[in-house]
Amino acid sequence: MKLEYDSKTRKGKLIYPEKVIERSLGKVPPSKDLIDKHLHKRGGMFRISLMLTAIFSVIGILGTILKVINGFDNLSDWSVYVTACVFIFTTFMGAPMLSMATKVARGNWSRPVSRLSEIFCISGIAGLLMFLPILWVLPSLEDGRNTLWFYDPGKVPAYSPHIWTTIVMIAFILTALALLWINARPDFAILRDNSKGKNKIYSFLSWGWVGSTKQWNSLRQRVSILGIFYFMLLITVHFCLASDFLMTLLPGWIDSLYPVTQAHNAIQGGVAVLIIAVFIAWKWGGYKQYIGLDQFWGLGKLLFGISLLWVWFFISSLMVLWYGKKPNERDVLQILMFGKYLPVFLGTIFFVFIIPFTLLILNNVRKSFYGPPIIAISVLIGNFLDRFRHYSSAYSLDRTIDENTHRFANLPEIYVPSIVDIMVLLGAISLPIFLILIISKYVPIISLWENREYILYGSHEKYHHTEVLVEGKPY
Amino acid sequence: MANKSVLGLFVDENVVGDTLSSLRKSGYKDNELEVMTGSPYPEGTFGEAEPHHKLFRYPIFGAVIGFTVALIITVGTQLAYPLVTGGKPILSIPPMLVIFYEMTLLFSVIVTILGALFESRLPRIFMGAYDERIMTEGYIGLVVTVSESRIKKAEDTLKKFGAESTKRGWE
Amino acid sequence: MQEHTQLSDKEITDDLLSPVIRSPKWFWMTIGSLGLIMLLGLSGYVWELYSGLGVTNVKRPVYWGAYITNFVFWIGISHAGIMVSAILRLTQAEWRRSITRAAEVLTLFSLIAALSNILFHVGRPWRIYWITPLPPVVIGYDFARGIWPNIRSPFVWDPVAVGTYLLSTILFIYTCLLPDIALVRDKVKSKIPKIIYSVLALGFRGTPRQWKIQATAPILLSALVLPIFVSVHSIVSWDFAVSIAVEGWHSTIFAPYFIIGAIHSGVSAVACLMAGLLWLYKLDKYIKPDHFDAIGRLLVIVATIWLFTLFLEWIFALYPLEDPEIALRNMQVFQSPWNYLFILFLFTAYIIPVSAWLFKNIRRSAKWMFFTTILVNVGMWLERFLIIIPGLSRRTELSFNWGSYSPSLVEMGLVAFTFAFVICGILVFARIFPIIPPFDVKEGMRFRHIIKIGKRNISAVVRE
Repeated sequence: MKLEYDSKTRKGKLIYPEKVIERSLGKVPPSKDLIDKHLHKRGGMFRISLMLTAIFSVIGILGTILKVINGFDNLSDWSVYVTACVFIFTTFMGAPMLSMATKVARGNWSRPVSRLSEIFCISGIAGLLMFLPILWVLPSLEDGRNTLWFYDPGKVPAYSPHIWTTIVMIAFILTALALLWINARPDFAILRDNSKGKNKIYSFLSWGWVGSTKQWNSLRQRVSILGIFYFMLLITVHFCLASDFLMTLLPGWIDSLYPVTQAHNAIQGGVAVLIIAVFIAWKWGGYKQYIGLDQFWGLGKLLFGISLLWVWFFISSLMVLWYGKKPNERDVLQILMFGKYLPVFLGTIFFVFIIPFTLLILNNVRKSFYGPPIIAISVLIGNFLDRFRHYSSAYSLDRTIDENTHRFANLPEIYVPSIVDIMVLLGAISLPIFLILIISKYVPIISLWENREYILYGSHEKYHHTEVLVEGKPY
Repeated sequence: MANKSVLGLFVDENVVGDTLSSLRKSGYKDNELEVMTGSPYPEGTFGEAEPHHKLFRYPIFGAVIGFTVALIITVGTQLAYPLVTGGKPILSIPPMLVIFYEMTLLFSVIVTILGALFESRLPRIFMGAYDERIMTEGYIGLVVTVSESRIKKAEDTLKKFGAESTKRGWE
Repeated sequence: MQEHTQLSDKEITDDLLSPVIRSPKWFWMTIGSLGLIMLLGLSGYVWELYSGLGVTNVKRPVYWGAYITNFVFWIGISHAGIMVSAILRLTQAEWRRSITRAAEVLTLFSLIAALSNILFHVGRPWRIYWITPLPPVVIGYDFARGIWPNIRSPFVWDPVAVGTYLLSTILFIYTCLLPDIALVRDKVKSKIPKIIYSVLALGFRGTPRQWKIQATAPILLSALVLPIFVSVHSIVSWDFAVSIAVEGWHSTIFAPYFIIGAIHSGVSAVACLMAGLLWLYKLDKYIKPDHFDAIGRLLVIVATIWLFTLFLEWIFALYPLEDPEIALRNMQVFQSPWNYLFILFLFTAYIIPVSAWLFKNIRRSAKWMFFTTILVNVGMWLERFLIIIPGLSRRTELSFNWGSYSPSLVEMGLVAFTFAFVICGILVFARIFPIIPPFDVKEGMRFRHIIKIGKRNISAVVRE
């Protein structure tokens, strides 16, 4: 086996032996090629998908306008809308978590996909836009419902859930955008010095980045601090959404675990959308030589572990509620799982747990290019069904109580989406993708500096009669 | 078959690798050659044959056994004494899940351990050609196991490549 | 991991096997004094067996006292051992090598300590086999038994889960111990120990096939033991949470809350144990400040997640605005003596240690880590106490009077017994087998590389 790449001078081309190719991060050191790829004109596929998502986004906005015209009084009318909005937060906005977590844990395998995961931060804008009308949908505290916030008529405003959630959400999205910018700043500087046409934009975006030791150190500090903030805000956002925008609307649902379950779902959905994004970048994006089997393998393992954890959360809730058997607990189980929503519930379990578990347990599936993306799609379907099961049943609940049984008189039927709902749904899925596509024209989707850094730390060396991959961890 | 084995002790990894490849060239098969080390080396350090194992299948066998055992225990004991307690029906699924889960994992672990022993070809009653310095002082042992007629030649080869000491044993 | 002492195979063997070959000077003294504590505790137990549970202060309505608190505490400690070892193995963290064995052994002995608490707690421990579904053919016909264990009761899940965990832990430790038993076999000179070690080593010779299985099996077993580990404490928490009789127990967050709490106290115990081993056996070549730093950082995250689950438990207990629940929480926080214990618990379990771990110098100092982690464990013991006792001592629908509880002398003696037992067990284990796996450390030395970039030497590892 001949090594054309000299690890001492770090020159030449890395040619990997067959056995270690899956462990490698790519075949070619990131170089001019990667910069050219980013600056190069996008292909027809890109333009078509941009157009399609733009059209669907407009349709979605039209649907929202129709909803608003219809009025905010009928809660059940908004159930799919709320589902769609929360779906954005439990999928797209969970994806950046991967980059944050692996950066804190100092993993090397995620370097080629970390930017792809950060780029999802931009979808928060779509989420925030969709969230605004919900503020008018959610009833105020004056109607006597329980809340996690303090409410004292006359002293504390009846809209405290609305206020707190909006503040937390804006903080969350700002943190996410700040992270994206901080991480991409060195790349903007590289592009500023290498591109001809877009010079001005990049020199603005790079904000005076020259790559001094001080700048690098502060970058690392900022990323780790903001990454921890991001994680905490992610949990807080889901705590707010799940408690006041969902659980308080379903009286008797006292489940202290559900906010965590939903936050966990967000990370699961985040990994799933990331796998699909990585697959698209690998298959059609032209980044085949930068994304290796190792990335799919790592993400597949992650998805497997997260799916197992999800079912543990779910069983922990179910066990306590099922054993409790209080009237309110029976009602909750009937509404969310075993009553009219049984098909949706079974679908959730099937797509979120059974498919990932049975398939990802096989190493051949985890360690393949096509296995993880297919399972990721299943997880996303299940994630949507799970949100639908919770939010639409809570929003279309008739709260009349039967006086004899102390249980709800009428359990909600499965909500059937109208055409306007489907318009909204299309828009909710397209708008984040549209934003991501737009921003990918300016932010390189494979991090230039992280991969350049890896050339310093990873090399293949001869070890007696074999060949090994040596990986350094500098801090 | 009366096979004999001879052990050569080496210090240098490269020498072991060279000896191994030269022995292979002179007609010794992979199953007649074995390296012994006191601690793990990266795979293929000596150019030795890559060991294949099927350890990943064992947990699945164990899981099937464990699940069956759990099914028999849970269903059997409940049907043998069908008394409803705490308003929980006979054969209700949530409590049974717990027993299923534990038993499945327990038997997976047990069968995996048995598999690990089998796949490492343990227990081994007689040590054959072996030297304590391999474990304690980091020597590398190279064992050639062949029929009695070829043993002399193998020992000579080991010595030629600079084995510090050789030792005979039987298989 | 920047600090590193490169050692030869022979040095490692000599260093790590010296406590196995010859007892350290302090050994018999320490074992003797621990044995005395154990003897005192056990004499209390004999007294309890003779005169019944009346010698404890467990009485209506507080049926669960120090024994159950101690049971949950030791189950919690047992969790981190395997968790640290399994997670570090699965992620192939290089710094795992010198601490995995100690963590696993901690798990083993704390599990046994936890199980012994159940024996102390039950009135007729000689009928413990009633929880097994063994047919009369096996255990002999017992007229009083008559029925099968009720698998719909959480108290049957408990022995199933803990038994599974104990058995898998023992097997796991043994599998990882094989190469080291072989090493001891080849190192000891006296005849009888040599025979025993030879039998235990099963003829391990260190062929590539055996090393490959040694590399694969622990990872596979880690993946199998992790789900067991999660289930065990969940099931222990369901002992509390599935009942509706006691306010403050019926909460869905209990399983994650207990698990995270267990990790918090257990990882702290591992750090504490590492510091102890470092001083007792002078292992400063193997346990570095970097180890404590890494554990300290992990603990900050774990402790904060634990605090969040505590917050969720509280907020959702108050959210339905039910009077008994509010009264209970009021009692826990504002009424003596629970309020003092509660403040002590918050300060020892979170506020003091976590604010200390934010400083790098404290994280890197074995002494400081030793003291802060002991604080955490004081706090976590109190946490379990505060979950169990106030909830039970309130008058509820099924128990008609108020009660109070403080452990009796016998109970305190047996709690002390469990602590002495775990320490003693680990020391005896370290006398028989190497507590830091020499083969793993040797592999670590071999897999270590240096990458030179400019004037900086960066430590690197070989990835297969």
